Amino acid sequence: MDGQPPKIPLRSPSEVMRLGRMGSYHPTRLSFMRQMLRRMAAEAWQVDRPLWDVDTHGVGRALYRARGPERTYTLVAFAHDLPDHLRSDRVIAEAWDATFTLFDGEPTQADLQRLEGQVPGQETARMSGRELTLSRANRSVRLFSHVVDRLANGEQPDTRMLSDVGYLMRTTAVYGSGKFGLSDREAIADRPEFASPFQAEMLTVWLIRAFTVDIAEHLARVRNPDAATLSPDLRRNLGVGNSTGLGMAPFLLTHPVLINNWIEAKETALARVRERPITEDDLAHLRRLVGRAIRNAEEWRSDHPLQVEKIQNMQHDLAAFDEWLRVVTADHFAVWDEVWIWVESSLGPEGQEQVLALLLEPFGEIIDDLCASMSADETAAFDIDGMRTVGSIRAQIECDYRWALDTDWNALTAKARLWYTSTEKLEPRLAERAEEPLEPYEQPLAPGREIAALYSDLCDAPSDQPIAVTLQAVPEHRYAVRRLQQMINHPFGEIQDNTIAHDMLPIDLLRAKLSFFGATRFDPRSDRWVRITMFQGAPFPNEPELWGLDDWMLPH
Amino acid sequence: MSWSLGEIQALTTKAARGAGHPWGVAEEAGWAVRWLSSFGLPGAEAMVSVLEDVGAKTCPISLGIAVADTQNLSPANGVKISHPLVLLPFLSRAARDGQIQIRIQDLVIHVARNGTDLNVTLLDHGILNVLMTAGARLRTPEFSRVYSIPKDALLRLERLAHLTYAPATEASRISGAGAGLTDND
Repeated sequence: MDGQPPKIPLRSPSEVMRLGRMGSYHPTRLSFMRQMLRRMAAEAWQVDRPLWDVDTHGVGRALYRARGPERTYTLVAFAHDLPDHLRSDRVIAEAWDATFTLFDGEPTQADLQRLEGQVPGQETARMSGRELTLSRANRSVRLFSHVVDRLANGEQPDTRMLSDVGYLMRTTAVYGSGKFGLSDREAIADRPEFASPFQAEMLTVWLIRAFTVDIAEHLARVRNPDAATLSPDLRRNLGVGNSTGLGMAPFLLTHPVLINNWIEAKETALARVRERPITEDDLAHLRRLVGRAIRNAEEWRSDHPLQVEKIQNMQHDLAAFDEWLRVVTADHFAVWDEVWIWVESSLGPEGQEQVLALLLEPFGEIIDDLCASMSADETAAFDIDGMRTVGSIRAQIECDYRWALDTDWNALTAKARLWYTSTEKLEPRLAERAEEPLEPYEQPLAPGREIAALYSDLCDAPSDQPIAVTLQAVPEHRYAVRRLQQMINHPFGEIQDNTIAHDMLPIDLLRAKLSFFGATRFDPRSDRWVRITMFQGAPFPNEPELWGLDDWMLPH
Repeated sequence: MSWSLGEIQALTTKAARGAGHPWGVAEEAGWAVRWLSSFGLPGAEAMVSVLEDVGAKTCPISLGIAVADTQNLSPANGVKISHPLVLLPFLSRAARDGQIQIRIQDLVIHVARNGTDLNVTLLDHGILNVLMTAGARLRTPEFSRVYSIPKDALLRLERLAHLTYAPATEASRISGAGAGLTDND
């Protein structure tokens, strides 16, 4: 078409699907929390708390009810009195400060009785299929006591302390998708409110956030009937924490089609924005967003040396970008692509990914439709086409898995780690291969190695031989062949890095996944364990007039 | 006790791995039981027997895979196997390109009382006639959200699945998950 700029290609998977890059992903307006609140605002959902039955020790139950245009969901919360010595964020914990489930509809008394017998047990629970999620949370002891003390004294908590911790309670698991008898995702996937990924989980966490404030205010009132309540501004600055370990890491490897759809949506959004002409108003908007991102970076705390360095790099990048934006005007550019080219050539990965998120922010009307493409029918790519030829498989590997073929899989450093599942609560763990005899228990989480092994075995096979013949002789290659098939038309499905290398950082996997949730304040506690904050800055259920503003992810 | 299809699939996959199948084959076993369970057919019971029967001459999973991969029913023709129900999901997959047609709703299932014969024949118009041991009549699955596994089959699947879990050691408990030392902060 005349005058139409050439379509800007997406960034290459070989760039964005590297672990180092994924460990710098930032939440965007396409993140699942943002999607949920936009929908709830547009559809005028109503949220209330029909039950609060909690005693003076903080033990009892509460219900939070979310009513949409067609259906109602209820968070059932059980508050417990947990001794400090039992408080652990690990999956091997057996008791928590509070436990939750999201009920499909409104529970009857009989439902509540049944749930009270199951939900507090968490992994030992047998849920019914009427429940969509199962979750629990522990107090941030330091901040929780401080807030209760201050409110009981009729005062507001210390702003600085509140901002530093960022939450009163942190969830240590949010189970969904059929775990422990919960409803399968397929059973609810055709409901518009659950069309996007993790919407039931996001709703659960958002309602839990309201509970965390209610329970603190309740305990303050127990001590003093005239206790203060949290001021709305301070309250909004509290999110829900989340403490997450390796359990989440394999997800990115075991759901390649879904991951492709998330990342392809984000990359497509960037490409669309890069094609847009620049106006002076747009530039002014971006300058304000950069200022807020700079403040966000200042408030982002971590003691982990790797994360401290990343935050410093990002601060440096944001300062440079800010300075550059001050001297340019819209006259300098035709389209946003020119800004992006400067960003790519001048900033590091942390800065680039943060700016990407900022660039998407003003352009909801040309990118928000991409949200609809972020779920996946994962069964569609399961069947193996056994008539595919060896030559076709080899060509795909040579084209897309050069990184795997170039890895020396016999080197000790290349296969230093192994993923396994522990008998204890089936916790996913990572071991040093040479130090623990766990190889018989190894999980299939090193696709590069499996695909390189397949390639090596195919070297002498005739090009026109159907792969089914190979698979009958060597069924061990079935995992790799299926994976290759899943990758067709899904260029962002595979992490192009060695996931069992000696220097692999599981926190990179965690950050990539959590960024799509919309998590902020990524704070690693080790190379494989992280704390984050969810919904910090977001409106509360009783502030529906603010839900649709959709501008809460960066501090104002 | 109710189970989700996702759980049934995951448990069966692990059980198949525990029984010694490669991961890619184990995934097929999990998928097949999910498929059968979604029709209300006793897939878990049939599959666990197959997984335990390590000395069988013909493995219905391998046979099913061969049929599904090649879209060719002939390897299954006239073969005698135990628990032929396990073959059914793979036959359905072999039908995907319309070369073979299985009319689920119209399918009449004959029960062979002696229980071990499967006879797959291509009839006119590509309609498949399946003889198998299970007595259930196939219906189009509607998502019921509640599926059951008989206790016996469940325990046997769990026993096999357990073989894929590493015994916990103090070292792995501390370092393997990488958590911090205290959460009382």
